[in-house]
Amino acid sequence: MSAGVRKLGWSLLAWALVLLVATPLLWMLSTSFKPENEVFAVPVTLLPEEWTVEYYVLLLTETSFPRYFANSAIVATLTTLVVIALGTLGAYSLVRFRYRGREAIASAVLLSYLLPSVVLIVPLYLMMVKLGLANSLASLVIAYTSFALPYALWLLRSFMAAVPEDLESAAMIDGATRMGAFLDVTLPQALPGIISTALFTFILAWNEYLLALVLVNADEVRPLTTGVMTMLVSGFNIEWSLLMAASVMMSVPLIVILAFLQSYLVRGFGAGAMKG
Amino acid sequence: MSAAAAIPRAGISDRLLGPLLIAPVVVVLGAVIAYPLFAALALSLFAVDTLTLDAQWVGLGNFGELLGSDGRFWTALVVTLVWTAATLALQLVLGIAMALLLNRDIWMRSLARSLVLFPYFISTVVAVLVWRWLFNDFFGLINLALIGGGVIDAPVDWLGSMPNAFVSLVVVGAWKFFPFVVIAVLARLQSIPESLYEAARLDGAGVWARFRDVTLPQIGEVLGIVVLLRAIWDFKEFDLIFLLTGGGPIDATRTLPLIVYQEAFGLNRMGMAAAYAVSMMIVMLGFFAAYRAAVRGRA
Amino acid sequence: MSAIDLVGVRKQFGETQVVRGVDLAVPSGAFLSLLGPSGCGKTTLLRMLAGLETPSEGEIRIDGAVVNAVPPGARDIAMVFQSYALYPQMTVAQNIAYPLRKRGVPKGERAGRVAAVAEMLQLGPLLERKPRQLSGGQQQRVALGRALVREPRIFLLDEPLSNLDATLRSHMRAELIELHRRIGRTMVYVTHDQLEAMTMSTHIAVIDGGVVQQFGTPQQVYRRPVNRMVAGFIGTPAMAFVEGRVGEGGALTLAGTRVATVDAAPGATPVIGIRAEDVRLAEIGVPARVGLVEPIGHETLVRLHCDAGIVTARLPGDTAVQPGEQVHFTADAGRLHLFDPIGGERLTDPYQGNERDHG
Repeated sequence: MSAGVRKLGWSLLAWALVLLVATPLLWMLSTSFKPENEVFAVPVTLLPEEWTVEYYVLLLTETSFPRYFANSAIVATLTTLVVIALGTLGAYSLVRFRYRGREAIASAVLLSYLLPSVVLIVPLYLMMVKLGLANSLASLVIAYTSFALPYALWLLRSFMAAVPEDLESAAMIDGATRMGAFLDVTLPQALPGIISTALFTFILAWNEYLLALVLVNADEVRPLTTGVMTMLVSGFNIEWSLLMAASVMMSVPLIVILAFLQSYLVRGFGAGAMKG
Repeated sequence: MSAAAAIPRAGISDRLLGPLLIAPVVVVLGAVIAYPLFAALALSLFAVDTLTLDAQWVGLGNFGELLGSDGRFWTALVVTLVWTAATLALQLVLGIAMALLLNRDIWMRSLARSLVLFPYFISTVVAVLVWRWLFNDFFGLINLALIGGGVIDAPVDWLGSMPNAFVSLVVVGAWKFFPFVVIAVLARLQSIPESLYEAARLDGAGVWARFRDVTLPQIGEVLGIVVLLRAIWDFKEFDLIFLLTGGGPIDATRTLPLIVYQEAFGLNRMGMAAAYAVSMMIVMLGFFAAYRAAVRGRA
Repeated sequence: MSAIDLVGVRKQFGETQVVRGVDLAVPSGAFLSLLGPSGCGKTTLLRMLAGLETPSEGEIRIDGAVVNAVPPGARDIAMVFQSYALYPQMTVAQNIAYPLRKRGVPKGERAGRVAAVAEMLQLGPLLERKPRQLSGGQQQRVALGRALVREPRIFLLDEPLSNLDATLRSHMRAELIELHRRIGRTMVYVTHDQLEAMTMSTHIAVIDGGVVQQFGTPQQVYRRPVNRMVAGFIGTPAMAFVEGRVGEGGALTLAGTRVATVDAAPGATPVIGIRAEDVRLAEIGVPARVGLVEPIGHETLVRLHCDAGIVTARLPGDTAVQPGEQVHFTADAGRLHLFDPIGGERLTDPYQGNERDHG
């Protein structure tokens, strides 16, 4: 069997499987562009016979979707900023300094990284009520750090550890202070890792559902996840094209990240999961 | 020239700087994790009404009830374990197969890799909406395809009846989470030196022998960690199950995380919810111990 | 005045004592090698000099002033790292200019000094490159340049040649010697390579187990090692150690053959250390069987198996011996080194009548 034929065989097999995996997403795209009569047509059409963007227009003009989208963008961005700021300094401390309790903190971080959110929802809910933060975007940002910060710390720790300590020592001998050496040398070297962590954090916050379900029940502050689900249950009959359009729109940031910044995501995978 | 005079001494000593930098993390994690965690432990000893927040000391009463014959703990634990084992097994098979395929020289390999990653990164809400549309009784792609292909005569109720709901859940779970296995295994595959395969070839190993004696031992370690991490994450999965079946039909797919939510915000019994959560955590500590042991074993 | 004084310096990490009481006075302008096996504490000692580690106990003085609490950047020292530690995101020029920038040297002056250093190290054409675009030898030069540009009082070098290939290493060795001669500053050089230490240094401190075993000139350390550890560590091939026996009248015997007269009680069993170049084949002497023969061209290394152990002999290149052959060897009594069989310390000047100072 020649190499060319073998490549053909493996390629066909691989792509058959890849397309099977991608089918739900392609179907989502296809449905979102179909007019209502075609959605419920039998036999089904794989691609819309008549392409329409009416559901996208509807989504952006007649529903609360734009508000949900804005809420999600605000919450995910703020969560990412807070988590990266705290996580970068914290990870640096865990990697470069020796002090009592450091190992204990590192273990606690790993433990909380594996802790189920569902354990925390009741006390977090009570806490937000007590603080008067229930039904606010702030409550989501605070609650999201509970799962995003341990994860980010874990990733950042291994990225920071990969920056040679000699570089920082050299900078200090060259006249930089400890923080100066961190800013001049370690931070630029860890930047790809920080970007990777930021993307992960953003995606985690963007996709979060359970805490949003518990902490927020007003349309003004609902993020996309719970918001789009209310669109599903509030309608008299389910408008699948509208929901698929919402799903597509909701996935746009992820599509952008996957298309242009995928290498950062893969890097994060390796650091976070495999270097335990 | 005296450089010593030109440079001021560092403001903060290393001894202080380290703890100072980690302090914000400790404070925040204390507030959003440690405090709620201990609050959950405490709550589990009370009967608390979600609406009025009236609390009444019941000691270990909640645990007695949930572990007792009236409680749903054992049933839910079995459902949770079966769900975890089934979806994880499917993730592994699919993930390893896909990783091996994507490690080969195939057409448009990077595009194929990107497409495979998608399910893992999209929101569970999106995944569930799409699959509910695929599972739709009369207009869903799956039923239409199966009827069209002559496999079934009448539409199948994929989510409302058993064992269909459970199978559907396991399949969607595998579809959503198997890319994690793919990336982990693929990364490891790419780091296997080609010389190992060449040596095996010189030693007369065929395709299968090369997989068994070279590939498998090399990805073995990674698989160990992947299994433990995914086991923990699948065990505590809430979004997918809650959104896809809601625990139904009746309680057939109601895992422990769903019960915690239901007790707290459906039945308004916060203390009971906390007791379920604590019990669930104890089970998970077993997973965690295994994970640590595995990590130590590798070092 | 000495440039560097270490007084009772100790360092421990947790329970582990890495440096256990080091006293050292480094003369101004010296090229001092800290020589020892890996894990002996030499790098920790260097890092304490640099200010990257704080001593757990003891004092470090530079030009007489205690610097224990002075941060690294304010000690007026420069360091070249084993890994070179070039800042990857900066160009060669930026790397060299970095210490000047941190010291607030004006931009115009900076450029001039960088150019001067680049000229001296032949880095001119590389100034706009990034470190990863350079070969190992070029990176090494940039690291040196970054150290030189500030004209510090003291240079610290941590195994700077260990990542270079053999040819480049001997070339850089010569350049470093030349550099030291030209600028005349104090240099402290960490290495585990005794050949480097012997060829480059004015002074050597042999370190093992966190303490200085011996401090002296290369000749002193080679000729009069103070203990078995130093004796075995310095010199290639390594010094051979065989069991000796003292008989009546201080007759020292090796495998039954008398080799010297010593001032020791009968019945003592000192360890005899013999360097390969001190061994000669002779008609009468210690009987031995020829083992491995390694001809290197201008000389031949021969392993001689006698009843007391194995001795290596460095013989002329044209020596014709076959493995298995029975021969006799002798060694000049004055060049034998005697060590305590238990503690390993040198038995000082035990020879009767033929004391010689090799220092």
